Amino acid sequence: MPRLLAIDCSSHVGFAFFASPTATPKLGTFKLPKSWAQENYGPRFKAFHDWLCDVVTTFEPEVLAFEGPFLPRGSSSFSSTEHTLRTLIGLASIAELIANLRNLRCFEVNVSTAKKRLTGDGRAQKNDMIIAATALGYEVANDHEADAIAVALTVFDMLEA
Amino acid sequence: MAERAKAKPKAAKGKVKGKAIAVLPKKSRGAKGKPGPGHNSGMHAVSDEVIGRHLDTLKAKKKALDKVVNDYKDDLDQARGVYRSARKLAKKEGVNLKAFDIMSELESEDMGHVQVNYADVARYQKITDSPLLQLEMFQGMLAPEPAVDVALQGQNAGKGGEPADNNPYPANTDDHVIWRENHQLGVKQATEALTRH
Repeated sequence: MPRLLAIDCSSHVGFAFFASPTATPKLGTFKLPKSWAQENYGPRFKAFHDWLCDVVTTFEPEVLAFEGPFLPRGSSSFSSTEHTLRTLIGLASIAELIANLRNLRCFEVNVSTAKKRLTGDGRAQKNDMIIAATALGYEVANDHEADAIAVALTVFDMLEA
Repeated sequence: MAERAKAKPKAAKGKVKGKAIAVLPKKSRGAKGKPGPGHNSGMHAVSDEVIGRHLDTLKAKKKALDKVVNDYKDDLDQARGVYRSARKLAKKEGVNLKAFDIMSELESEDMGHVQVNYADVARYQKITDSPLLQLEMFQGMLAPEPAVDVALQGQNAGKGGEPADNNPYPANTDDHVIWRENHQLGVKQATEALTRH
């Protein structure tokens, strides 16, 4: 099984690096710099780019997996703003770009698929994700790291099949 | 008993133990109400070179400090988050976290302090006729006897004029010897005090 780096892209980027599916993952959270103007995307994208390059250099993964940005599909309860969407799409694009530049196999995992893999419920809340990851023995510090674990487990399942 | 430190007596202005010391001439101190050279009230110009030098140092030191703080903060946030996650799982599986918090706090305290506090709680409940008293939680709790400093006890007895025969500790014990030796010290101190006056 390949060395896998899974990330949950948002203003707090949770990551989980697995040297192997059974190894204890290295977990952490990278906070993107805050910006006074929401539309000032550049500094955040640059910070994410630099951070991800460093992480890839440090851990040398063979696979990079990320949680796909959540896009509205006619749901009336959707509350993300245009700026949030643009940020999430931008982060996903950078992740894909770096995977390509570093010759890493790249996977995008749907939010619901990841949630279902970890909790059995595709609509699980943040708290449920943390509880499920902790119950499996992963020492996650927040829901972002729990999401990264879920992404990694989904990809491992897929590679095994 | 430890000796009490006394403040060093102030030397007279311009003198140290009878010797004259250099004092700034009145001119250099500036006119009355106005700052002289070296005063930091901002009433005289400081060169850009001096300020620039300090700013460089300050920036470098602040950067080093921020790095340490950030490294420490990341570790702290991670450890806190992992602890919070463990609490969430424990709560979901039926652990009473409030009881755990009380237990943790008590475990971090000295046993004697816990006993004293709980004995006091029982007493205050009794005084205020608290309905919680019916729980009989703290009824059997007795405050421990305060620790006795044998040396201080002997010294005070000697100072107070008690005879050496009043040694409360059985002969051939360490406490007996300590009490006797400090009793003698106390008697000596009392005698010295009397001769001074």
